This record gives sequence, structure tokens and C-alpha cells, in this order.
Amino acid sequence: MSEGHDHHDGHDHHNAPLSEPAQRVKALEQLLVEKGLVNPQALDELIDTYERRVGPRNGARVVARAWTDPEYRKRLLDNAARAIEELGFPPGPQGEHMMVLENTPRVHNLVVCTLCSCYPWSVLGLPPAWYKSTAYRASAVNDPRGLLKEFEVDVGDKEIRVWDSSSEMRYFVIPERPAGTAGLSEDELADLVTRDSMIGTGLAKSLARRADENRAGK
Amino acid sequence: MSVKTAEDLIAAAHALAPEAVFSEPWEARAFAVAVALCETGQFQWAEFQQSLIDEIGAAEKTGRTTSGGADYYHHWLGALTRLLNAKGIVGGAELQARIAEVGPPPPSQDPHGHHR
Repeated sequence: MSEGHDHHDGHDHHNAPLSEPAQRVKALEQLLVEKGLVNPQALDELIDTYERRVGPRNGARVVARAWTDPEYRKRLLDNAARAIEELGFPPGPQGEHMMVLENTPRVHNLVVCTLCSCYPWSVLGLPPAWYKSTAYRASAVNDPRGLLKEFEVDVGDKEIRVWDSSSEMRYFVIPERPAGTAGLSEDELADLVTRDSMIGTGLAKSLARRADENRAGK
Repeated sequence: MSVKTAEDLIAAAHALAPEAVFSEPWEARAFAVAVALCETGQFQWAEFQQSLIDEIGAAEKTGRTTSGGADYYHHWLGALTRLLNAKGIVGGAELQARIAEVGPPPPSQDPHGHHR
């Protein structure tokens, strides 16, 4: 099924000396395997899951469903973790307590984790590096409007609400549905939903932007 | 995944974001070890999270910033080893001794290849 995927680490791992952290992890894994606490195959499966199966496509499906099905949207707002699981995405360690934040014509939501890197894995996969950076974590709180400018997101004079994730609660943004998309199918709508739009550092793609990107990609 | 046309592929690539999830195999192993131990109940996720917050906080207090790349996984690994030591699951001395055994590695003998 995953044939044809390049392995990101498909080079020189047979003979190259291990770096200090690589040695440390290898030693740790060996000890845990000997103690019967981890199973190397289970680790392989976890890595495969987070590298290839769990990602923002999950969240895009959730958003597209919420845009098209008012009953689903209600369930999502009421109990996000359960509604997300309905679509076949189990919560995992970072998705048990989840809240969705709906953008509106007046309010733009922005998600950060100021202390570490809490993130809704089940819908977005693992966070991008910038989400974990000191710079993002500080400026999302200190200057959210300036930060959005850096991401080239124009929210006009909307109120910006910043949500600080924690081990108790993770957040996930439902971006505003782009104009002129009434006739689109759920799949087509999901294609407009970017990872950043679900963090709040982006907006869902307009039809014009989607068309431009498709043209540029040809 | 039902990718039908080139347009779909491009759209999917944009939505999926181009950057790799892990830049080094050890980052992936360290990540998976923490998740696996939480799943089997060796610790609560909140405990690991707190250990990670402490690691990152200690570094940032001294003015070292985190880019969110490899340095982040150094913090992750520090948080994990500290928690396992505190819980008596893998002691510090035990880990040091094993590190001395695994490195430097014998040539062309890596029993755990990082993938199947």
C-alpha cells in the first residue's frame, strides 16, 4: 500500500556512526524492549501512522462535514472528540479533550501552545516546526495581529482570539467557508481546507486561489 | 485515499504541507517510545507534557530559543529520560552504561534498522 513512498531516512543508516541523541534513543529503546515495556514493531507502526496516515487531511474532512451538515456541526461544537471519532479518527494521546473554535465574520481564532507543543494530533497530525518555536509561541500571545501579517493573513478589523493549548485542552479552528462554494461536494470543500487554516495562521482557500495553484502546478 | 487526477494530487500536497514530520530517525524513535509508553499506561500523557514543559522552560530561561526542529526533539528526549528516571523505569546510570555499549556502533551491524 505504501509502496512508492520514499523513506525520509533512506540513506546511510547502516554504517554512519550514530549521533549522540541517536545513541541515547537506541540505548533507551533496547532497555525498554528488554524490560518488556515496548515492542519495536509497535514503534514502527506508530511512526508510520504519524508520518503517513494522520495529518491535516483528517481535519479537512471534519471541517468540510461541519460546513455541509448542520447536525454534525452541532455535535462537533458540543463534543469535538466524539464527533471527530465519528469520522473514524480516534483521539489518541492528544485528542481526548478537544474544543473546536468557529471563525465568524467578526472573530478570528488563533491556536498556540505557549509552554510546549500541545496540538490536536488526531485531526492535524504532528505540528510543524514553527508551531513549536519560541518565536511563534511568544508572538501569538504578544502580537497576534503582527504574527498574522507575517503569515500573510488579512483578517481586517476582526477580533482575534488566541487560545493557549494545554494537556487539558486542545483547540482546532473551523475556518470560514469560502464564498461561492455552495455547489461543491464535501471532497471538493475538504481540498480548500489547509492545515494553517485549522491553526488560525491561514484561511481556507478561495476558489480563485485554488484555481491559481492548480494552474501553477501544471 | 482516492487520488484521481493531477489536480487532486497537487491539492493534496498543498494541504499536507511539504515538510517532513521527522528530520532524523532518532526523532521518530524518541517520539514513538513516549507515545507507546503512554498507551501502555507507564505514565499519563500529562506527566510527560509537564516534563517537556520543564525541559523547554529551563532552556528558554537561559535565553536559548527553540526553533522547533531537532532542538525540540532534544527537549523531548530529555523530558522522556528524566521522567523514566523519576519513575524508576530506566535509571540514569543504567542508561549511561547502555549508551556506552551502543556507541560507537560496530560497522554495518544495526540490529534495529529504522524501518522494516
